[in-house]
Formats: sequence, C-alpha cells, structure tokens
Amino acid sequence: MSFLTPAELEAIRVSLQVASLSTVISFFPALALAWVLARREFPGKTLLDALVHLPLVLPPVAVGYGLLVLLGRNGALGHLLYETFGLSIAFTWVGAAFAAAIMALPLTVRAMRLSLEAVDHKLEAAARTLGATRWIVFRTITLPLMAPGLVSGAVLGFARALGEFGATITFAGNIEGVTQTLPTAIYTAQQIPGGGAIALRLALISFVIALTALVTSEILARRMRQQRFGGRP
Amino acid sequence: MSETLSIALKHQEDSFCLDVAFELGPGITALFGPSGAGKTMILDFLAGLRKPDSGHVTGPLGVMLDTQNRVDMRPDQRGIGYVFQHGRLFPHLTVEENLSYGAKWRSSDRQGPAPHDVFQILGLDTLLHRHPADLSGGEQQRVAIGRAFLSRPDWLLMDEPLSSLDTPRRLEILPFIDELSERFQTPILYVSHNADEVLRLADQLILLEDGRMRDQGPVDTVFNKREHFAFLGRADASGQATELGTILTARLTEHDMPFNLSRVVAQGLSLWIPRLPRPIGAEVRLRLSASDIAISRAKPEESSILNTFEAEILEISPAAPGQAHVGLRVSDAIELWAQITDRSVTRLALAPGAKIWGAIKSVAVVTGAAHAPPPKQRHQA
Repeated sequence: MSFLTPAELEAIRVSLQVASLSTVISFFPALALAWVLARREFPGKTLLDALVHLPLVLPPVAVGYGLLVLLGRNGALGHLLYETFGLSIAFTWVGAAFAAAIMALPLTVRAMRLSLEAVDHKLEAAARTLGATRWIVFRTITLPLMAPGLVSGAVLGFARALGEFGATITFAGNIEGVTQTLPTAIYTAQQIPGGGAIALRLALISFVIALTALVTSEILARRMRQQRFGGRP
Repeated sequence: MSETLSIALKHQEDSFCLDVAFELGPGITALFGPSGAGKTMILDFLAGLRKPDSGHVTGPLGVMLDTQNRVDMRPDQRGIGYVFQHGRLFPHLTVEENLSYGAKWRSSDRQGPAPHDVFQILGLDTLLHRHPADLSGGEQQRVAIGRAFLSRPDWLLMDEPLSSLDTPRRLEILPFIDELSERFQTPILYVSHNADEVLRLADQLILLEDGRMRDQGPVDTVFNKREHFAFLGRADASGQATELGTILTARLTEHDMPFNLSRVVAQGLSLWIPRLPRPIGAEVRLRLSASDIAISRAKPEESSILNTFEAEILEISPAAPGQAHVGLRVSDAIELWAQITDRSVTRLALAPGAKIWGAIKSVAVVTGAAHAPPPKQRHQA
C-alpha cells in the first residue's frame, strides 16, 4: 500500500485497534443493558434508559472530560488504580478505546434491544415446557434468534468508535502512533498550513472503512437470516 | 403410585374470575367450553408459564404449585409438555432439531417414546431436514405434537392444536394424537371448543363456563345430559352439538361380509352400521341424532330401516316451532331422543308412559378411525 504514507498507516492502525477493543469491551455490557431494558421492569428503568442514551446527546468533549476527572491519574478512580496497580489508562490507546466504547454504547444497545424485542416470547415459553432452563433457552433460542441484531449492533458500535473524536482527544489525547486516530489525524492535518490534501485523503480513508464495515454487516446479517430461517427457493 | 394430577386454581383478572378444581387421570381429558371460558389460562397455570392468585397442583412426584407455601416449580421441572394453538416451532432450527430439542434437556432416565416411532406415526420422516417456514400449517402442527411427545412429558397439555387447520387436515391428525397417547401412556388435557374433536378423542370431559366447571365425567355421560344441550350447542365450533342427540359407547360384535355391514351392541341395544374396518370386540363411539330417530305405534315390520327398538316415552318437550323432542327409555342404561313434528305427536297420541317403537335412520360413528395407518402408508396401499 505504497499510496499511503507511514503516518496515515499509523493512524489507520490505531483507529482499527481502538475501534476493535472498544467493540469488545462494550459488547457484553451492551447485551446485558439491552436485555434489562427489553425484558425487565424495575424502578429506575427510565433513568437507566436515559443514562444509556446520554452519550448520544452530551457533548463528546464533556464525556471525555468526565472520564478524565474520574479515571485520570489524579482522578477519583484513576488515582486508586494507579496507586494499587500502577495503571493509568488516560492518554493511552486503551483509554481511547474506553472513551469510544462509552460513546458507541447507545447505538449498540439500541440495535441489540430492538432485535431482542423482536424475539417472540412465546417461543421461549415453549422451550421452557420442553424442559430447557432459563439459561439454556437464552443460549439456544433467544441468542440465535437475535444474532443478526448482535452483528449489526457490534458493527454500528465499531463504526461509531472509528469516528469518535471529542471524547477521545480529551481523554486520550492526540499522540501520533499511540492515540492519534483517523479523526484526530484529520484535525491535526487541518492545523498545519497546506495540510488540506492530507485531511482530504484521511477523510476518504475513513469513509471507505466505515462503508465497508456497514455493508459487510448488512450482508452478514442477511445471509444469517437466510441460513437460519430457511429461504424459500 | 396414583397417576393423577390434583388441581385447584383461583385467579382474578379484571372482571373475569377463574375457580376450578379437578383431577387429571390417565387417558385423554377434554376441557371444553366457549372462547373466553378460561381454558388456555388453566393450561398456562399448569405448565407454570403463568402464576395464579392462589392454587395447588400436586402430581405423583410431589407438589408443583402451592401458593400458600410459596411452592412454584419451574416450568422446565414440571414434566408437563404443551402443544400450543400455533405450533411455536423454533424458526432457526430444522424440523429434526425442533423434534429433538426437548429430549436434550430432560433427564434421560425418564421413559419415553423412540424418535423413530413418533416420526412414523406422524409421517415426519420426509420433513426432517426442512425449516419450519417451509412447512404447511398441518405439517407444522404434526411437528409440534411430535416435539412435545419426544420431550418425554409425564403429562401433555394441548391447546386447540388443530383449530387453525381445515377439517380434512384435522381429521387426518386426530387419530395420531389418540394413537400416540395410547402407545406412550401419556395422559393428555385437551382444550377444545369443537364437540366433534372431543367425541372422537376424549375419554373424560370437563365443561368450562365463565371460569367455572359446569360438569365433569365420562364423555358420553356428560354429553347426554339434557341440561347441557344448549350450552354444548353454544360452545361448539363444529356444529356437531347444535343438534340434540345421544352418545353411545358400543362394542363391535359381528361383521356381515355379504351385506357389508357390522353389528355393534351398546348395553343391550343392537345396531347394524356400515361395515367398520375394526376387529371384533373393538369399542366404538356412536352418535344418534334426534332427527334421525322416527317413532311409530306399531312394530315397523316391513320397512327398509334396519335398526328398530322398543321403548317407553319419558317426556315430550318443545323443540323448534312445530317440532318436539321426545325422550325415550330403551333400557335402564339407554335413553334416546327423537325429534318429530307436533303433528305426529298429536296424530299418534303420544304421551309420557306410552310404549312405542323407534326406528333409527342413520348412525354416526364418531370414533373408530383411531387406528388408521398414517397418510404415508395409506398412499402405498
């Protein structure tokens, strides 16, 4: 890939790495939240629902700042983490992934929740009368039936993480080769006189990656539905 | 070990109030009543899919539900299978995977039917690798029934499993249910609002009306009670019970090959019916409609009608305008109804206590197809 400069390649690598880890971190919490919101009734459900959606409407910079206050080396939790384990995630690529995960969570939860709500509760009841426990039913009926939703949720989250800017730059900075992702690289390029061409190239690269992810997920989900539910010839 | 399930359930929902207590024994028990009588609710409580306000369910293996002592066994532990009104097959699994789903989770020391036998009885062999979406309604219900039996339940609940099918499909599947229940000794609680189905299938009958039990007992006894006539007609979707009639349980005693007839005897009343392809000694259930019974003062000697009997008139009550229902005592055990015109009542000077002759124009056999081979074999024959 000689048409990409080493700096651009670095930005792509960091971006993919951050987005991948962000997807992994957020997958199970998102599934749990989706399940709780779709299937449970409890006091404070509306509040939880609002909290999950908060990153969607809050300025990303505010989220990043909040993370810094909480998890920065001098932050309430960060301080403890550093004292006990010598760990600090602020201004690392892991921190960038963490920030991206929080920003992507609403989208992932939403997609998973919709697919979970589409699963017919009567099928699960039928499985119970066939001797399956709650957990077996979840594994063998619920999860496979919502699989297309899991895939699209994860991919949406991945794509969102790729584009994350505000929270990332605030919490993880913009360190080339470490936390500089495609969006922050575009921002940097724009600050340099004559960097417009670089910014445009980076923007096009972002566009291609995001589109590929979305198209792949759509194809995957469609094939999954066909394989699983038996297509009419 | 007594193989009965003792059931008592009470539940209030909006203005509807359910309050029933009964025992579920071996064989097939029909739970019959109009829509909204609470039939499905009872099944959901028994299966553990819903919880009643108060209730008690005890089987041979212990207490399943005791709201007073906060016992509420999980649905997967109750050993109660459930065939739903609409298949509820798992769309992401093949027919074969659907069928074997239940056998995987229930403890394997439980006695149960062999998959092959069930596939054969229900004619499922050719469907195994298909997906539920590619099956017809009748095929889906057959798979659902097979799936429930193969999960080795101690009891089986069926919620109008055939109501979404047309009559020919229904008549095709009914005998399988009967045969499966008999072969694998699985007691069934069968919910229906179709009297034809109940007569063909059930041994015991529970009538349910507005959440309460109207009556219970052997199917013929309950069905023949005059006081249920209007209720049965109202609740019935098949049209079978809208006309007054009598159910008789008879035994096949003789085949008359040259004339293609069979003789059946019900408590002393002997009847010729079109030849029935069943062995001598087989039990059949007959229905004698009131409109198929004629009355004469003298013995009908030179008549084309084969089945005649002597009887005493018990009562005469009005039916439709110009029509009367005449109750006839044939023997201590048999009472029949005849529907004749008011004009005939007057002309023959009929009154309670009078000795008359009855002539039966036709006899409907409501069971007897029970052991017909599955459709696959029928095509080969």
